Parts: sequence; C-alpha cells; structure tokens
Amino acid sequence: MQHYFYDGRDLSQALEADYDSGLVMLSIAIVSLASYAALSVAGRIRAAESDNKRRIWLMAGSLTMGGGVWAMHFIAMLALRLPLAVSYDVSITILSTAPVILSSYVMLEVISRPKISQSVVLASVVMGLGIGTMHYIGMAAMQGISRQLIMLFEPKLFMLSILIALALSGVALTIDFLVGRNKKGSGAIWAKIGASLIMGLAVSGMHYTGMAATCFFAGDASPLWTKSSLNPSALVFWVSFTSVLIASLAIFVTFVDRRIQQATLEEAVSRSRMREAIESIADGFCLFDMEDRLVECNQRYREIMNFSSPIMPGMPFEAIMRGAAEAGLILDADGRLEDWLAERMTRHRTPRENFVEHFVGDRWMRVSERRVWNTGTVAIRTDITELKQTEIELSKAIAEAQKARAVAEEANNAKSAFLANMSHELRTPMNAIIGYSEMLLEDARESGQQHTASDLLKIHASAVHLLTIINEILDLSKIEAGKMELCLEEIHLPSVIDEAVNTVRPIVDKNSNKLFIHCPDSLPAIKADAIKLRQILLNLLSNAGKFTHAGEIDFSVSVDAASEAGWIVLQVRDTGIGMSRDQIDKVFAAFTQADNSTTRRYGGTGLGLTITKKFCEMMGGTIEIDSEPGAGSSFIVKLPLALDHGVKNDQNSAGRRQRIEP
Amino acid sequence: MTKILLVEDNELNRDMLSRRLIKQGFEIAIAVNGEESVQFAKSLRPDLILMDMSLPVMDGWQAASLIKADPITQTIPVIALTAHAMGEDRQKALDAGCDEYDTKPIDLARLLAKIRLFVI
Repeated sequence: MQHYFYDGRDLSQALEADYDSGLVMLSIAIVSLASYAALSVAGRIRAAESDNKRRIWLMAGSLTMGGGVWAMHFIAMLALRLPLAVSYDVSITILSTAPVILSSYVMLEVISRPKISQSVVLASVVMGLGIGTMHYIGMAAMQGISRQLIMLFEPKLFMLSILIALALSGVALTIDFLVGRNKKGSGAIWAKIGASLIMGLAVSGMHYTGMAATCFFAGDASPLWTKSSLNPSALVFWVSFTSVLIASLAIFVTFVDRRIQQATLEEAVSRSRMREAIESIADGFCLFDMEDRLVECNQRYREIMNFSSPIMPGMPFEAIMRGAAEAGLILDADGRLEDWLAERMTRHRTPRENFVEHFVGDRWMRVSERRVWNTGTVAIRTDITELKQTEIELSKAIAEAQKARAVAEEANNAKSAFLANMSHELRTPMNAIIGYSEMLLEDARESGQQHTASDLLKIHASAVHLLTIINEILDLSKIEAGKMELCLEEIHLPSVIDEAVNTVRPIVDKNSNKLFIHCPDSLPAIKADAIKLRQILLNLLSNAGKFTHAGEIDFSVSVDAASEAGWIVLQVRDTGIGMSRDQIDKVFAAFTQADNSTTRRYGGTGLGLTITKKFCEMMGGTIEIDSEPGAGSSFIVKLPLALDHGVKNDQNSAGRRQRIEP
Repeated sequence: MTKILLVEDNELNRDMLSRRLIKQGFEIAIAVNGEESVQFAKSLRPDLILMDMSLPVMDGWQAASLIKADPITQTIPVIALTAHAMGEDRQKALDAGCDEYDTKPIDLARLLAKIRLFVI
C-alpha cells in the first residue's frame, strides 16, 4: 500500500469507487446519534456536583463521541465498493480511534465549562482536527488483498474536508452553546437535535469530502497479505450495533441521571424551604418520630434546650429532657429529677393540653405537644415570660387592691358605725329639747302665759329645724356611703299624702299660701319605701311653701298608664319665686340652693332636693323640674307602680299597717 | 285607768314622756332596759307597752319577741319607738312582733293616735 498527495499518475487509471447508499445513511445516523449522546453528556458534565463524577461523565462522553465517529468512518468505509478486494489492518484501525476519543474529551471538557464563548472555537478546532486525523489514520489501515492499493489525495479537497469538519463542528457547538443552554424544555431538545445533526454532518461531510479527495489505484501484486480478514457484513452489524448501543446507553443514563438530579434538587429545594419555614418560627419547634427520636428542630429550640451536648437529629426525647433538666435548665425538675422526668414522659406520650415549664433565669415556656398520626410528636415552646410576669404583677396588684379595698371597707364600716352612733347621740338630746319645749309650751298656754308660750314656740321650732338638718346630713352621708337601704312595701298612698300634707301645713300657712290637693278617688296600690316617699313629699311641699308668698300650691296625684309597667305621677306646682335655667341645673347638687343668699333668706341645708332625687332614683323613678323665675316652679316625680326589686316580704308589715289606716 | 309600761333608758326622754302621758291621764310604769321590761310585763300586766328599741342589757327587739312569745304577755300591744325613719329598724321591730311603731322625736298627737288604736 502506498499513498501520496499526487504523483502525476494518469487519473484515468484510477479505480472506480462506488458507495452503498444504505450504509452511507446508516453511518450518518449513527454519528448523529452519538453526537446527541455526547451533547447530552456535556449537560451532565456541567451539572456534575463532584470532580469525580465530572471525570466519569467526561470519559463516558468522549468514548461515546469517539466511538460514534469511528463507527461512522468504519461503516462508511464498508459502504465503499472498489473493484479490488480490500482489508483493514486491525491495529491501525484501533489506533485510529485514539485521536477522536482524545479530541472528544477535549471538546467536552471545553464546552462543559460554564460560559466561555471563545472555547467554542477551540473546541471546534480540536474536534475538527480529531475527526480528520482519525479519518486519515483509518484510511491508512486500508490495504488491498491480492494487489497493492495505492491512494492519491487531491490537496484542495483534502484541505476542504478538514475545513468542513472544523466549520460544521463550530456551527453545531455554537447552536448547542447559544440555544441549547439558554432554553428550557422542548426548545433545548430541538436545539440539541439540530446541533447533533450538524455535528453528524461535520463528521460525515469530512469523511465523504475526504473520500472524494482520494483516488484509488491498483498496484502490483501485494506481498503483504494480512491475516486479519473480516466478514464485512458482520462487521457492519457489530460496529453499528455496538455504537448505537453505546450512544443509546449514554442517552438513557444521561436522561436518568438528569431526572435523579432534578428530583434531588427539588427535594433539596423543598427541604430548604421547609427548613426556612421552621427556622422562621419564633418559637422553639421540634418534631419527634414514632420512636420519640428527634427528626427536626429549629435554632430557637436549640437555644432553649441549650445544655452541654449539642442537640442532633436522632436524639431520644428522654435524653434531651434529661440533659436539659440535669443542666438545671428546667426549674420544675429541681430536686426531683426522676419524678419529674417520669411525669414529663407520661405527658409527652399522651399530650392533652398545653402546659408551662419554668426555665432557669425565671423564664416561662408554654409547651404545646401534639401527636401527629403516623408521624410522631410535634412540640412548640413559646416564651411567655412577659405574659407570666404581667400575670404575676397583676395578681400582686389585685392582692394589693383587695387589701386596699379591705382597708377602705373597714374605714367605711367605721364611718358608718360612727354615723349611726352620732345620729343616736345627736337625736337623743334633740328629742329631749323638743319634748320638754313642747311640754312647757302646753303648760304656758294652759296657764295663759302668752309671752312665754311664743318664746317656747321659737325654741321648739328651732329644735325641730335643727333636727331636720341633722337628719338630712346623716341621710346624705348614708346615701353616699351606699348604706341607704330601700324598704319596699305595698303602701296606701292617700294616708302617706295626708300625713305629709298635715306636717307641712304650718309652713304653707305661714306664708299665707293656699294649698290645693288633687287626688283621684281610687288609686292603685303602689310598692315603694313609705318613709322615703313621705320624705320626698315633705321636701317638695315644704319647699313650695317656703319659696311662695301669698300664692298657690297645687299638689296633684295621677296615674300614667301609658307605659306597660304604669307610673304614679306626683306633681307639686307653686306660684313662687321660681328658678332660672342655671339654678335648675344646680338644684340637685348637694349643698346648693338656687344661690347662697337663698340659704340666708329661706334657711335649709340645700340637701333636701339632693336627697329627694336620690330617693326617687332608688325607687326606680325620676324627678323633673319646670320653672321660670318669678312664675313659680313645678316638680314632677314619677315612680313605678310596682318596683320589682328583690326586696323583703312585707306581708306582715302591710297587714299590720292596715289597722292604722282610716 | 289605762296602765302603760314605758321602756326607755334615757332619763330625760323617760321623764318627759312619762310626765306628758300622765298628764293625758295614763298610769305609767317605767322599765329602764329590755330585761326589766320583760319582767314588768309579766308582773304588772300593763295594757300597753311603749318600747324604745335601743336599750342596754337586752335590746328592744329581743325584749319584744320574748314578750310576744310568752302566753301570759303576748296579748299586750307593743308600740316600738324607733329612731328617725330607719327603715330597717322599723322592719325589725315589726318582725319581732311589735304591733305598731312610731318614730322619735315624739310627736305627742301622733303617738296618742296610735295608742288610741289599742286602748281607750
């Protein structure tokens, strides 16, 4: 076998070469498939997590690519039909795979680097040269069987074949680089398919251009008859089978690996999301499995349970609690570790409701443990120290307030007792004064001592007045202390009215007033406090008498049945001095009369109306004023007919009272 | 003559009231505390008892209930004399069995009217 670039041989002597088109197509298909496999592997190399893995992928990829190119070449050579029997030198054929495997390695190494665009040029140069070298070494393995095979190469086409390999690899890698990496899904796959087809064309284009550059001549009878004669059709089968298998395997493994990696990545993402979520919980979080071993916990939990040994997944719950308790973190366990631990374990195994753990540094944790079916136990520890402190402060404050209230109540009781005493002590001598003056007055009248009688009357009137004032002051202090009791009973209104009218008549007469009483013949029974009602009437009537001169006083009683409950309306109207708007506003305030001069002119404590209003309200009623200065005043008291106040049963008193009613 | 047992611890009130009632034609016996009133009610058998409620040794409410519990004295009317318009005192007096009440200061006309409900 001899081969030259061109030795001036007569080209018409060249052997006629012919191709089996089926095998040509097969060769192109195989190399395209191998390219696809190699590009897929490149993606895996880029995604490899470790150098080792990367190296394995590089190796597998370069073998696949190299094997594919070599298979393409070999099948194409078998497709070549020459009128001269040929054979291949086995060792040279095997050697021819070396450059293409090496160049594939370099190409994969370069293109699997992230983001170096110039590397595409380098990769295509290496790849193109690798393919060319492989081709021409492979050609060298060709030998005639009976006669010498002489090959001559046309230089321009030879150069073109190398250029085609370079250029088309460049195009293929560029497509893969620009499109394949920037797109996702089917776009990336189509780009890869396109790139693989072009890479296939680069290899086969190089080959068939190279073949076109070659002229075969038959030489002398060959002395070199090689022993390695292989059955060409069997070779085609095995070579194609093997290379397709390798390429398919590579594609399959790549696919599987990508899926695994994707799944791993997804799991990692979801795991890290979960972790972030757990870490973002402000409370201590931990999860134990069915065997009570720690599965997961957050940093906050580690901070809370910060004892000598670090908390690691897999640690038994008991060990963590024991560790924390032994380190003195949990005050509840102080001095009773084993008992506490036993209780705590029971509680943990049958969690019912939240509970509180007292931690060192006077910190309080609310623990919420929940069994999760088929998973284990989830526990949350919330720091409620502030809440607890507030609670403690609150209970202290409450205790203090209770103490203060007790003191106040005691003082109030003392005041009430004092008032009760005082009222007795003040009234007793008053009773004597009033009684004796009354007695003497009678004597003086009987014995005709008019002068003495009129003086005694003054003493008597003054005493009565003083007693009234004392009573009013005591009443008001009782009302203000909340000690005034309501004594409800069914009362006979006409007799209460009669009594009140009889009592105030002297005051009314003194100022030459006329008193008219309008009372319907039949009045419904009314439930009220007789003494308070009497006092209301006395106050209103005596005020009318006091502040009216030579005028008229109208006292009318009526029933207002408009509302469901029914009201009794007591109205006292006079033609007296009346009051201005301002005076009306102040008239119910304690110690206030229409103005200060009123007290001097008309006497009284200014408490009468205050007490009257309080009494009305105590009985569930109201009091209203209608007044104009100079035109007189009108006081309207409304009391409910039946006051359903939880009061004592007054059957007895009512029964007894019947006797004195006329 | 109608016999009234006046139960009153205060000397002035006792003196004043007894003199005024005697002047009205009643015969007056005096007890100065609750215990005495129970004894005298039994021994003197008065026609009516005027009983102050705040008394030493035994208070008026207790005395009244004892008098009303004893078959010998239970028919004697008892008029309670209570301090100024003390609702609860008055109610207590009626609960203790008193037949009537009047408030201090004594209004003689009013008291006489109440006495006349029971005796001539």
